[in-house]
Amino acid sequence: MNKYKKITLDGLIYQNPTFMLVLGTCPTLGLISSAFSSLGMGLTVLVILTLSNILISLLRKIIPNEVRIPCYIVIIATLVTFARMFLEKFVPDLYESLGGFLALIVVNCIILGRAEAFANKHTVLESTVDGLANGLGFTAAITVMGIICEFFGNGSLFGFKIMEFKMSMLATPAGAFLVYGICIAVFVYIIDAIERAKRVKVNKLSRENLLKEAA
Amino acid sequence: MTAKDFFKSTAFKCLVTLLCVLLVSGIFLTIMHGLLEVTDEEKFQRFLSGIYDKQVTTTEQDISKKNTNLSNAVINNVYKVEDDGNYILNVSGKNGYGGNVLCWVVIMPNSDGKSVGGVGNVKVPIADNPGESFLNQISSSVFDKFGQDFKNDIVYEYGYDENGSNGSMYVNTGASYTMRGISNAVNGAITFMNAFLSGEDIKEDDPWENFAFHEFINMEQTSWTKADGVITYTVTTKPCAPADPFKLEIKVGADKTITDIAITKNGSTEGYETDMFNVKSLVGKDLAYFTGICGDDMAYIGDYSGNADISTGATRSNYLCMYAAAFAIANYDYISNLKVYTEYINLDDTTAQAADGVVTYSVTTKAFSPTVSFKLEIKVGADKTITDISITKNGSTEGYDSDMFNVKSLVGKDLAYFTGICGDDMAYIGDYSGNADISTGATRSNYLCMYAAAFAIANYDSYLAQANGGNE
Amino acid sequence: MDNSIVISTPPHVKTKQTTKSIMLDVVIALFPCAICGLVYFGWQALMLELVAVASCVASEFVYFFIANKGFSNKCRDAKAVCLRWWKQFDLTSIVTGLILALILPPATAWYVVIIGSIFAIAVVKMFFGGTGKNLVNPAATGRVFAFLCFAAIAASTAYTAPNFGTLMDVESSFVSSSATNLAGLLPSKGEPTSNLHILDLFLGTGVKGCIGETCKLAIIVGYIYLCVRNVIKWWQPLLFTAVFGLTAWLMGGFFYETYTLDIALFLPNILSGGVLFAAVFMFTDYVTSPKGVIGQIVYLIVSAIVLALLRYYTHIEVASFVILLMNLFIPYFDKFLIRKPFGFKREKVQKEGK
Repeated sequence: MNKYKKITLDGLIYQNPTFMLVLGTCPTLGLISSAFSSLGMGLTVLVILTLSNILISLLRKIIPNEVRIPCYIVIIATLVTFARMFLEKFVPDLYESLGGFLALIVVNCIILGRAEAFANKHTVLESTVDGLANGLGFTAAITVMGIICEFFGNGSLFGFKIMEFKMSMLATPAGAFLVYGICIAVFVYIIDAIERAKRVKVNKLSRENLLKEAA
Repeated sequence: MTAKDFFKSTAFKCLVTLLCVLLVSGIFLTIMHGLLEVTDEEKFQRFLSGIYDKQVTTTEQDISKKNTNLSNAVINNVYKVEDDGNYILNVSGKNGYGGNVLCWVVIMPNSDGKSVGGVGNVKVPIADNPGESFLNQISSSVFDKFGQDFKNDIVYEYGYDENGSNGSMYVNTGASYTMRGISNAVNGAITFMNAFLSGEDIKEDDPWENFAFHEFINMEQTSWTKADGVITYTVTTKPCAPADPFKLEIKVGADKTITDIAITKNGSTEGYETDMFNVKSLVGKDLAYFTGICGDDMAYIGDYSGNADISTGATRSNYLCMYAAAFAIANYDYISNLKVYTEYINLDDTTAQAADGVVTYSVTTKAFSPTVSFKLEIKVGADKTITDISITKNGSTEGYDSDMFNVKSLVGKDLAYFTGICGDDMAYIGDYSGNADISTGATRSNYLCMYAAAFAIANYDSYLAQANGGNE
Repeated sequence: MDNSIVISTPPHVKTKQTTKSIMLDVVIALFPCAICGLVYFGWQALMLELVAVASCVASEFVYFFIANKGFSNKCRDAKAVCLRWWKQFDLTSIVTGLILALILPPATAWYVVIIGSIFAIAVVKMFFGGTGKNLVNPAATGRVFAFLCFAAIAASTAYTAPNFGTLMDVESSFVSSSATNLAGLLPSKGEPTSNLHILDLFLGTGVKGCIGETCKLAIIVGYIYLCVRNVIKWWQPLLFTAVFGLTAWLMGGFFYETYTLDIALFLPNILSGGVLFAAVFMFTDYVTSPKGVIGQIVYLIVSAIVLALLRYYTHIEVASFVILLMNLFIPYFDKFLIRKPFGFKREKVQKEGK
């Protein structure tokens, strides 16, 4: 069970695709001016990532090594096209707000990266967990940034007007870049702080143990 | 390598796998497309459900007979909502950021159903406008303002000009060019629906509508000069297949008959020139002669067998010449009264009295933002110079009126003086730094005064003739 | 113990100048501009200056406090962190705040200043490691950030865009002739006419502009002080303004339809907007200048040309944008224009010496 916990934690935090690996930057920068579209994008990627991880992990023994990249791309593209059709049919609002970025999921590094780095080496169950964890990590990161950008850049949250004050630059991709960088810095700072606290605690414990043993 | 080796090789395996993956994906997507396709009908229903909570019935209107390609938009479809009588238009607004912007516009007719009474919802589906990449920057509150901004029956000011001022709400939406396309679509929809509801076609597109018999005349290549009651035309006709365009020099005298006519470019099909009548035979004829042959509307009736003059074997060529002659006569009055330099002049509020060879004008100019309209009293003497000029209403922006030149300095100037500064078309060129008289700091105000003066001089003849005609 | 031999690692500091003393000099040099701001634009300008300085210092302190774990332990630690901050405090944030306030228009809203200050200090300076490690000029970047954030709502709320530097108004873009980039800074009407008073521009009387940039006399006083105190090299601002003026003059000649090279454009171009202020206080910033004389010369010349070009085409006061832009190229200047090592002599010269 520990294995799954590690996969989940890796995907969510320690190898968070957005903050730690800086993957999938294009949709991130393009969409975080609106919290709603960020969330929608995150969830779409979550679904596609999980499905592609499952499929690729299923086919990992069949697909020859030499043509694995084209095969992955075809599988991902199929899933993305399907997602587009699905969204257009059933969630047209989200489809509208995602615009061209939906099609760009095909070349989203997160999906191809997980396929290449994880799914083609692990079992279906592990790959599913990995896909969900990474997808959730991406969704959380992009939504948090979307909320920040929309709140400061547009004075609203999920489309609801909150205040008149707005810093319009943060609603543009350029401002998103700034917010992205600051978010990475804060995230890494917090992780570091936690890690350090843990290490101090472990050191203390081991020293106490040593002292005990010596005694 | 034998065939057997090939079928066992990795290359073959790769090929087969790839093809299989492609095939399965293709089949899957084909099935899904069949299941999930969103038809145009459904898109329309979606737009409807965004406006009306309940199900409404719509009927598509027949617009095939109307001019749907306007100067600012193309009308694609018009639907009438039977439940409340509103119209829903699918419009492509021109001059967006990436070409046309496809919009849905709701138009509410007046209670009499003859003209447009208001603008309702405006929706711009992102999926149908891939070129407008900043569309999502426009907040929905902007679209609501279209309804509030609807004023003066048709005109909705967009206000985004090259200088980026006025109507800042549209400039600051984050997608100015897209917004221009959208407002073009809304304006186009209003224009179209006004024409559609009143049952007329759109007239704005015809700058020559005041000219009689111009259907077969290429107005852009037609010019005329006035001198001593005689108007000399250089007329270029349109082709009347198989005859090519004709070019004629026509003189019309004060008694509204042809005094001279000559063909400068013969458009007859080869071999037919000789079959034509002699155009000189038209000299001395009046309008009644031509309408007597072709009917009051001068339409081409094809069969002129009753008239030996025209039915000479080159009927179409003859017809074009006669049409040009009729055009020249019929427009004699209109052209002799045609005013020039009227772009900045409010003709409705402009009057002129002639007495003893002096025309006294009371000219009201149009506004030239930020300068509002001026009112001037101008006297033009028989030598076509300004004899007196004074401002009765100063339209300068506050604080600028003191910067204006002294209008009295224009006294004694003739038309050449003004066209020398602003060019022959008297257009506002913006930079008058070469001329200290006008570039005094209140350039627009000065320009309007000069324009009014130029208008007064240039139209001296026609106002004088008008006044004399009235006396007779 | 024998103290005659001191062993230490390089650099061996010989001068008495410290960061703190240099920054104090800069603050003193900025005082004439600040006082002129108060005289010309009233209490609001002074308020902006104070708000900017206060928020800069405050944000630096807060960042330092968090980064040094002021929150993590007990009160005693917090006090120690405060003391440590006071020890390392070198007035740079005061300079940043003052410069930021001086390059903002007097009608700026107070919260804009605060946001600009926080951005300048926290994001531009402290994120990259504090004093001396920032990539770009904090004050200029803070202004650019404020400009991009709040220009769009200018019409409705905070302040009118024309006040932001020398944005032109529409009227003047029509009528002004070759001096297009000067328009908008002229008294109220915004229409530069032939009677363009150089003296008015020089003293900043009746001219639209930013708090510290209007009075050129005050800037020159500051320049002389900085030169005397050996804080900046005397030729840096002169080179910059000369190249800028020449370029602007040539632009006026070649790109304008009348093709006249009017030497009368030289001075107004230099004296308008924030060129002088940027030349004296911002392009001479130690941190964001290339190392070595050659590098600095190239940097100043290129910046001046870019500024003149951009100013001509945008009709906006773009000095801070140009500073930001050119600062990003400084690593390349440092890389490709190699400094002469200390004490280096050419081979040939050595031979002759022998």
